[in-house]
Amino acid sequence: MSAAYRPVQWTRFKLAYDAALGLGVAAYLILYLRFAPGWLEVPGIGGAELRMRAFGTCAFWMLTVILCIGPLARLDRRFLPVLYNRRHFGVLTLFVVLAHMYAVLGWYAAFSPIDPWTAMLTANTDVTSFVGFPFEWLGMAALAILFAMAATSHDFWLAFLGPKTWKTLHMLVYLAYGLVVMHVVLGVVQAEESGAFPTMVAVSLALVGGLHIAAGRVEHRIDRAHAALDLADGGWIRALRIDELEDGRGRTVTLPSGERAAVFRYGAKISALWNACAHQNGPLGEGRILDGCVTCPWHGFQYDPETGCAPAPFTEKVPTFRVRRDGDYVLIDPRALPPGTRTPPIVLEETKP
Amino acid sequence: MSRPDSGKDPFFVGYAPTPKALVGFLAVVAGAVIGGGMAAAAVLAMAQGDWGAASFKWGDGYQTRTGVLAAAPYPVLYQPPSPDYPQGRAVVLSGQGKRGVQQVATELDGRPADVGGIALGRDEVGVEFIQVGGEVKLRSAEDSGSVPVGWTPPTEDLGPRTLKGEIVDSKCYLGAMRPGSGKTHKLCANLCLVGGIPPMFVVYREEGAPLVMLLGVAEGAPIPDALLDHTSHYVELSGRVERRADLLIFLVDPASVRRL
Repeated sequence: MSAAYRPVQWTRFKLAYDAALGLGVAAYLILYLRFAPGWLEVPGIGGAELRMRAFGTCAFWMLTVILCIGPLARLDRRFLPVLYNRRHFGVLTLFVVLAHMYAVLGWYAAFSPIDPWTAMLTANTDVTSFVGFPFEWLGMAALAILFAMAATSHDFWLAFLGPKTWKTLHMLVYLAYGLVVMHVVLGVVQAEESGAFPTMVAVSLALVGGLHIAAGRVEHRIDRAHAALDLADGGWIRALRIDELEDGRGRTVTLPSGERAAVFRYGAKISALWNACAHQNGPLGEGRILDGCVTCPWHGFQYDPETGCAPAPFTEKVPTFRVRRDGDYVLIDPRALPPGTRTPPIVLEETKP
Repeated sequence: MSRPDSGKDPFFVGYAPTPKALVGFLAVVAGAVIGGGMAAAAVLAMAQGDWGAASFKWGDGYQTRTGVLAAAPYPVLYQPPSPDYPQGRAVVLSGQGKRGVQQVATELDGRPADVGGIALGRDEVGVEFIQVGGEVKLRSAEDSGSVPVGWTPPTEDLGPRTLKGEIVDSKCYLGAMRPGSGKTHKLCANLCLVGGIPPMFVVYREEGAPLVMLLGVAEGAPIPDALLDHTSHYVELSGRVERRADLLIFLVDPASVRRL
């Protein structure tokens, strides 16, 4: 959370995360460029071409891992810390992609009277053929998306563009991934006879696709299990039993509209907030109460459970829901109140021995 | 900020100390991702094909040749017969980078000429190639006596042929790049051909080295731009093959091209 914009708010965790990222990329590239060629019986590939492939395949592997993080975090909460600093992963991926692009521009597209960027767009125009399609265009389109994402990854752009636009822009990563897959399929997979390259693509697709399907099933089950369809009087809905709530924790309730509310018990009180965090739509219902605030499991943004307001000096707000008690049940008015609207919590009676 | 609980269901907050229960798990994840990446790097690097022993012959030093220059379909210097090459020896020519030498070659067409530059070649293919440059470059022969008066390279018509193979640019295929053929090289091949590098048609054979022929059209002219869409693909072309000195030349009908 931030009250002022700084380039990076470093924490020990981020430093460790970035060190691991740097180590991983360095290990990949050193192995590909320095050691693996020595293991070949005949190193029959040029140095510049080897660099193109090292950077290109490294970026493909990184993009695959990035797209696996989200569903993994849905399937196992222990992966949430990996999600926390995912934008650094994305920005580093862009730099690796740029290195790949630079290697191509400086070799295959160079040494010609035609400007390298112009050459990338005009040297192959076999658009009527699937196998002959200029796969470089697909890579350049993916690069443009990844560049836009990296350039707007800072929270300044999240506030400037608004969460909806920002999220839509960043969902284009799936389009970028599709373009990259086709870039690889119509490029190096066609050029090489080894089955390793199509296998790489198949493994990537299986990981990304399989994990997203599995995570989608989990979400569907959550929606069904936590659906609050039991209508009480006056449009209020019966959300859940009070004894289903653990102190300091939340529960996600799916409203008849399909939206989700996050219901929290904190001590003897119960309140309900909009489930999507104002920062990046993180699932608040899966968060905890820390220091008296609902805390998002993704990036730790915090909200007062009664007002939906982040504690001063922070300014984020989420909508709140009116709640009341009906015997052993929590009732919710499914009409969300404007962000930051104070609502009285349910106050449970103290049980005295 | 209080420390999130570190029990069996720890809660991670990035700006707070990482729950101890998660540290081991995250170390395993990091190790798996880094280790998986290294394994992928090793497998992919070693899975790459052998693109041949093709390179610039820097170790051979600056090369000079004298012969008769032919500008069409692409600039080639034909050296007179020698004990090693009783029919004469052809040297395919290019300029620096992705540039041909047509302009100078046209002025010297049919005349004795000197060529200087760096050789490049592919071990299994017997075609001689020089990237023109340095002191001599491409000029009218200073010692015209080194070429018999009136000598022209012998040309043998090998008849009509329909062949399957790949259109490449000679310079990259013969040594400037590895891979200098195939789909990933198509962009570069087209730039070379547009720049005037002589194209070649490579016929891959199940056994033995590929058969490499200079490519032109039936009238002995350069190939049209329409064939650029077919570079780096396995195609079929029909035309007439002739041998000029020791160089095979495939003069094709561009309309006969068929993607295989």
